[in-house]
Amino acid sequence: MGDQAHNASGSVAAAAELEDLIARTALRDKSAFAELYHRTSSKLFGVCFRILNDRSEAEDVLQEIYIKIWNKADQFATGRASVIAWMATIARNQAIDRYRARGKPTDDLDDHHDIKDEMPDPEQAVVQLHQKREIEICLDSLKQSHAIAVRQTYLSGWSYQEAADKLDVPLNTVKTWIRRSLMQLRECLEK
Amino acid sequence: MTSPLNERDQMFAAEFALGTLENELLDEAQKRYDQELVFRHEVDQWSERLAPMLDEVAEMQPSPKVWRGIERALNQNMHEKSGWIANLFSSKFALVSGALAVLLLVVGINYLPSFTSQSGPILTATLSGEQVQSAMIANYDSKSGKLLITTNMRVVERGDYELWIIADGQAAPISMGIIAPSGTAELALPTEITDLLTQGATLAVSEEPIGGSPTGLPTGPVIAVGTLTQG
Repeated sequence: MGDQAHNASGSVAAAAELEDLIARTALRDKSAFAELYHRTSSKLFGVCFRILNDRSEAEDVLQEIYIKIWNKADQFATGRASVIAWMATIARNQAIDRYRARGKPTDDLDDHHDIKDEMPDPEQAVVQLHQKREIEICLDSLKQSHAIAVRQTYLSGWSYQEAADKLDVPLNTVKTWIRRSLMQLRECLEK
Repeated sequence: MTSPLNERDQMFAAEFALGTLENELLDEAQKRYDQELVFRHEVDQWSERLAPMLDEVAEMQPSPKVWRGIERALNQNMHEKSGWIANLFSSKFALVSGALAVLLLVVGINYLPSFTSQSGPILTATLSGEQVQSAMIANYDSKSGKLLITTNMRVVERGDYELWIIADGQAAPISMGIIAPSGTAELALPTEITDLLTQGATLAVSEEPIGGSPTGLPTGPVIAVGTLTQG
């Protein structure tokens, strides 16, 4: 079901359709929820797997995530995020929760570091180019070590302590890096 | 965009969105996200900024058993939880104040103030009070004339919540009808009311006897107040 990728994010029309699906989900419309799952689950599963690096655990967490989405769907209307960002926040929090509960790190930085082979397929890339460019350009404008810290905390669920351990710098240093980077990113993205 | 939060809270929201908070700080942030609208909006803006990074994560197909598990869990939950939809349809709703014919439409497809489709200027108000923060959020689309409200209040034992508008510069509140304690609804309002829904108008919720205020003016305690602003 490769078409999920294109619907799950990207075009304005697809985003509007997701808003519609989440609105109907808030009204307890199960078929809308099933469609929402169909369109977004491979994206969220990828996000969970990236953090947990364990298929069956990630599937377990994915189930919890969609039950949360079902229960919190009416909260979406009062927020300011897009559907996919809102759902991804729930997914990341749930996966990070599980990851920290087991207290076992995923594999080394190197395994996650090379992002080239994880690029979206070309068609998807075109749709996402604009947004992608912005965040990538802004990340590139940071010092490399700072960009790695931001990227890995976000994508792999590192805590400050983990980032300090993995990057071999004091905890306070990594905190300063990330906080400063966040401010720089905000400024860069709002240009 | 300027944030109403101080710098410390803005950073707290950013760290929550990034995912670096742990333990009691994480719990605190989650609680504020669920309860404080301003904080939630700050976090949402950060999620929106950071989410494009997720495009580099490879998508993966979960096994069909995940959906089966979700369906099973929902079926178990559905009859346990009345949910807010039940509140919307509760008997109290039949007793909408007669003074003004306020037609309450159950929210349908495309009810959300869309981030993408064309709409007129959107006015929003967050209604808070001493006891409750973000008791109600109102979104008014001046082009379509539709007012979308989401409420989050405790159930009143022997009474109803009534929504009022106080036009900018006016003193007398005008009833907009009875609203459910929690849930989301779209109010289709007569033009006499929509004409008043302008920047600076005040919305207020009061606790009234069942069926609404008998006098046409608020008689019970005002639970929450907020001002319509553009943005």
